[in-house]
Amino acid sequence: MSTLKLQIVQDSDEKNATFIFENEDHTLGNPLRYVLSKHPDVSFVGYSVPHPYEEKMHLRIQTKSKPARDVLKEATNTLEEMMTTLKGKMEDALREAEIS
Amino acid sequence: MINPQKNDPKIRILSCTDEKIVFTLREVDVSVVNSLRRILLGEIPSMAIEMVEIINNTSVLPDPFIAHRLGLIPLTSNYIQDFNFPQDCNCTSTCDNCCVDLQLSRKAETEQEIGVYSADLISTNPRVTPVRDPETPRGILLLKLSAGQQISLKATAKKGIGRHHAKFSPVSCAVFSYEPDVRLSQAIIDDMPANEKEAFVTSCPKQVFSSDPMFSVIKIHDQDHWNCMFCQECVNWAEENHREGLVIVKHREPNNFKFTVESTGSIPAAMIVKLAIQQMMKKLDLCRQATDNIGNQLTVLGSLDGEYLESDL
Repeated sequence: MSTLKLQIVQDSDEKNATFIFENEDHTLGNPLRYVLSKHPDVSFVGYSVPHPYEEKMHLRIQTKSKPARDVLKEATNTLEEMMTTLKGKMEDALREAEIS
Repeated sequence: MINPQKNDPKIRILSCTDEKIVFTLREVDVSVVNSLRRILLGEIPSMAIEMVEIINNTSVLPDPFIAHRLGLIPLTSNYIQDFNFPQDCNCTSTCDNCCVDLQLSRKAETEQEIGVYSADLISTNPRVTPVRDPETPRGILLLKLSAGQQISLKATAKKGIGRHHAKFSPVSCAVFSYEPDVRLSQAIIDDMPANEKEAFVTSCPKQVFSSDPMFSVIKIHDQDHWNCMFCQECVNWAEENHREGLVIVKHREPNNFKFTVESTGSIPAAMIVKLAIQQMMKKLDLCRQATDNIGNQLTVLGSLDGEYLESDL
């Protein structure tokens, strides 16, 4: 399968950056946007898929103090934690459904 | 560490068979639920016929028509992890690690017209065969042959994902809906005669309301509110009959959903859901690796103050 490629369009200040994800779309963009929007250090976050024919997703992050890059990494970790709990819950629920 | 998910997600399975799973998801944001749905539709790999070599076709249907129909046949993909994507495989063209060959050969020997079904496809790999279920043991009708006509072909199934072609999608349906909140006003109900109550109960096309045979009480049974599809028929009925405020229909909470996944038969439904969560985790893992590496190979494309040229992208 096509692999993810990440580029960064850095402003002069490292608190503000646009990340360009290749081979990704709303599937990754929207949950990342959601998690980042809850991050206390983020002052602005938004994502877009500039053109439907190009498999690219832009994620804009502006923060108050930390570098945008670190905040993105934190958000990825949070989302991964969320998916891990979801996976556990799903397995539990399925096991329960099988028993009853 | 930030934690936007203060509450723990809750999952309850309402029904689960190999073909269909219905479950409720609570305390999960819509963006996460929607990306699960998108993954279910487009990023869970499965096997499907990708290449067809027609050896002989004297049926009334043209070759491309048959090839297209063959492509849409669901193939059992429980062992999909054992296969490589054709573009990632080490082989030069086709091999057992990325492809499965199937053969079809039928002829209408007698005067009688015969149907050619997906079960007539003979696979070289018992793990990848056309999906069959007890109700329709012969599978899907592909074409019909009248006296003397024949069809003979070789097909190659490959691994792919739904984002590239819908035939690779293991689900025939992956939808979620918000939890409806349907509330009745007991005071107004008490005021209504039995015939009016009956009219109200039957106004709902999804049978959300239930009542006793005498139409004295109107109730919403335990899980019946999930049937509601926000059609507002009951609200309209109340307005037309000057019973404003009898019923209120709205979304209960923004983070509660009912998720329905129907499998094409290639992978059991519950398995597909598990695979979807795994796929999302894999995606995030890739994303984290990319953010780790970005420091080393920092590509500063921008000029001053975030202004960059379109051509740089």
